[in-house]
Amino acid sequence: MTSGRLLRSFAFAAALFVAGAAHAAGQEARLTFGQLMATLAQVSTSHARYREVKHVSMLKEPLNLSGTLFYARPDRMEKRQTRPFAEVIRVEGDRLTVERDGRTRSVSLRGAPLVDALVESLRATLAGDAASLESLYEPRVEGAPDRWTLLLTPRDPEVAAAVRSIAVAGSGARLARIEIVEPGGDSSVMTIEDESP
Amino acid sequence: MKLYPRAALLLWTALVAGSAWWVGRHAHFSDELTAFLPASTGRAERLLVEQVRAGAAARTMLIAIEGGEPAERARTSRALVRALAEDPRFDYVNNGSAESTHAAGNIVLAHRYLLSPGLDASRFGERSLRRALEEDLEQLGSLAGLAFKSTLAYDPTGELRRIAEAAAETAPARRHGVWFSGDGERALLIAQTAASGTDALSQQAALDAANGAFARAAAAPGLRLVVSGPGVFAARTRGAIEHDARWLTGIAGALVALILLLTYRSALTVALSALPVLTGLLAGVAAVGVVFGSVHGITLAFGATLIGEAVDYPSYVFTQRRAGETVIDVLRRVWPTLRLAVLTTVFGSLALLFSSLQGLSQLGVLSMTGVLVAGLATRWVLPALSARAAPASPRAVPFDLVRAGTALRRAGPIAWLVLAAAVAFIALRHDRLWDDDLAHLSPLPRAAQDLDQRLRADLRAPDVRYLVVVTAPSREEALERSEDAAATLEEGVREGALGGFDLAARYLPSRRTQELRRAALPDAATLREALAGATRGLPFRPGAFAPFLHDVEAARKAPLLSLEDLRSSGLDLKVQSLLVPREGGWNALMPLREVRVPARVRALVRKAPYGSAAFLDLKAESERLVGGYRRQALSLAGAGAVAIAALLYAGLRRVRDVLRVMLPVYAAIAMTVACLLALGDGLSLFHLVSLLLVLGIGLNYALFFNRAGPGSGNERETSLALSVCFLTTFAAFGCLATSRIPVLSAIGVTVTLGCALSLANAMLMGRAHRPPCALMDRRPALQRSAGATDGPCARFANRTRSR
Repeated sequence: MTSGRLLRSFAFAAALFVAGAAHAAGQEARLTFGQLMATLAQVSTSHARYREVKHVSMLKEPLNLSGTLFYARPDRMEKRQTRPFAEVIRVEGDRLTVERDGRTRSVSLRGAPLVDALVESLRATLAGDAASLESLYEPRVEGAPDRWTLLLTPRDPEVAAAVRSIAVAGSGARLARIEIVEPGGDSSVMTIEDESP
Repeated sequence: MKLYPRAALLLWTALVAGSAWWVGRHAHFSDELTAFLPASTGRAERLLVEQVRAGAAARTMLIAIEGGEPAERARTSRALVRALAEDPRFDYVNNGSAESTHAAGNIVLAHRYLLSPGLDASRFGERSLRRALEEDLEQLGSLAGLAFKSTLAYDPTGELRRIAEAAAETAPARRHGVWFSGDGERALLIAQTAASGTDALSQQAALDAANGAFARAAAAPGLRLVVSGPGVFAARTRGAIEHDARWLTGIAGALVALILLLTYRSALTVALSALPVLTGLLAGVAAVGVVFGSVHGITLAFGATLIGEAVDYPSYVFTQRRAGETVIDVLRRVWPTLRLAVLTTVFGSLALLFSSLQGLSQLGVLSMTGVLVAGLATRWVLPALSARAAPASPRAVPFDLVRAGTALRRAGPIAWLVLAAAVAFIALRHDRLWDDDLAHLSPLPRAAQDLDQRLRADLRAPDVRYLVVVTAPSREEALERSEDAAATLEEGVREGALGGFDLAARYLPSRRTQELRRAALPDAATLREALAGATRGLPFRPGAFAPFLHDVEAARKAPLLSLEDLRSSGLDLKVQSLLVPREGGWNALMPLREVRVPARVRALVRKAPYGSAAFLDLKAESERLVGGYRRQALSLAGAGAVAIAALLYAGLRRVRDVLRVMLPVYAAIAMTVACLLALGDGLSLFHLVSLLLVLGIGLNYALFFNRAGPGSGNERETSLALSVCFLTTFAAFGCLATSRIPVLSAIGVTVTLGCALSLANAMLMGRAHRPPCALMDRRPALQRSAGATDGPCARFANRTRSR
């Protein structure tokens, strides 16, 4: 590990420690990033329904989208949108496939940093993949195991130009809400209802 | 002192002084590798050579940063780009960052309506606009929406996206905002040097500049700079050949000097031995300079080895000196044979001399002149010099090659069996005899070539093998015709026959196309009305597309895009590299990617209008060229063999003797070829050149063997001469064989092997001195030597001796 990373990790650990200490002085059990990842990593598959509301400045009214989410360990994810138009996004490994209007397009995530960052904010979180998340974002966890928020700030300037921050909220090993805030003020909120058995 | 030695010394001094003066004053040593690249006749060939020589591709430097963390690689990449952009040795450098693509991005943005592929009036009708806006809404909702949103207001019809998609085909993957290899292990940059790709010295300077800039830019320890490209190859080739040539010739020279010193026990004699070959080299270089104007560095290196045979000439004289003899006395006996030895080599060099590959014909001139002058120096200058300083008498060797040869005659049939096996093996492999791949002629190690392949793939640089070339009388027409050819090639892309292609018209469309696109833009009122209709019922805010209306109106009135507009964006270099002037016209080059079905692509290109587009397979093309040179060299070698046979007949007067001298050598060459084939892939031009040297040296062995026979009275001298000559050759070329440069080691292995086999063959099948001088005389050696003095072969020996 190089000194830069070492330093960052150290600073992060120190911040956690300080935050933790402050919190401990308060009351309930605090959740660390590592603990959260470990909890999430126990889920092998999950099915969910989602609703997404996008606020776009160019539009008079927000966009309302909905569909289903499917995740299977270690790296398979499917986002099946049904409204207002049908679109299926499949991710497996480095391949992202988009199916819309009967056309299928496939891209490499590595070649598309922004899309990669967006995909991983969901996939790596579902997977509890701490390393991937940390390589793309500076993660910060707030709250307790039954009610936590994972704050992600992009490291890559190109991603940061389009995404100011991502906040993933959940309880236990389940994700409940993902909010993406853009630098221009636009935002999107996805609410997730887990349907896993 | 008699008149002749004085005249000889005078002439020699004049020759040496003249040559030295000429070499010192006029000789221009060139590092350009192109003398060893095929010179050109056909269009494809000219283009090939030109591309290798000076084309933009030849000036491209592929740069990678390895090691460390990805973010550190990216940071270093940015710093390196900034440093190289300031360096006058580089015309252009790009790492795919927003910084490096900023200028190009602005041009594309400003001229998107002239650049967008497939743009026509229908795109701005109400229905098309409606479709585009609905698509935009979907995009907003999708993953890509985030990136796409910023351009929506002024580009709702997605022209930028279309241009980007076409460009993405040729762009590498990106991470941390800069180009990376697909696996993320290397940050990538591409640079174009100001100097020509074959100017090895300037390329070395550019390489040093890149290394220096990297050392200052490196963001962390553990990062490494990896550089490749034709120019880098040129610089490294020069460096590697220089390094190996210096070291190996140093070691070889020391070994040869040691062998000679051990033999003569006199430094003076060793010095005298070196004199003819050095004189020959000097005269040879001067001759090449006079004939060609410049001497190629490689010619010098290989030429020096080619006339290495001349080191043997003094050895043949000094080692055969008997007690009480002067050098002139020895020469009287030995000269007729030595003269044949010299002349056969001169004739053998014909194969090189008449080659239309300039590098080879330079080699021919050098070796012909060099050997001839060395021979003359041995004959006339050595006696003149040693009249004052008598050379030491040589040490006797504790074995007798000639007697061993006679004893080995019993084993003669083995040689014939081996020869038969070798010929059979060659016949079996006749279809895979030759390796005409230019890459294999490259003196660079395989690893360097592999690295280049990898970087090329990472940078999505086009296939270096396939190319479509469009010819036209003017630049505009070249652009137009390449656009037409592109339309047909698109068909191939859809079918999957090829992955894609690039062309100058992508960055600078022809005026015809630009005018068509500009004329397709509607006036402000029409567009506003169409847009109003198209947005009805969609959730866009009123006035959201004002920037779009403004930009279209501006584009309608803007002038067409010209090459000047692309200046200093990197796009101009791209256009210039793909659109090159030819005498009396222009060529538009279309590099292809991932050609899967070459035949289909060829057929498609043939369908393109005007018949002005040609599909080139540069590899096949260059192999065809090299094959041509090889066939030419081979037929010239054949002519040389006939000339040598005639010469030997003139000297030896008996067909049997001629055969006896030539057969062992040609048998050795056949065996060497079989060995080389068994060892490696195939024979290259350089093997062929080395075999010529084997021919020269081998003929010497056979000639001297033929001259000496039991009873001829010179077995011991001949044995010593051959031992010394063989040992020096073996030492010198054995060193060369250890080189890591394929070409040098090929020469070393071929010559070492060939000479050893020549000597063995000369012993095994060479001499028989009793009628009928049977080639396969199985009688015991003693029985044969009994009648040694009365056979025709002995008569020959007597005759040579009496001269």
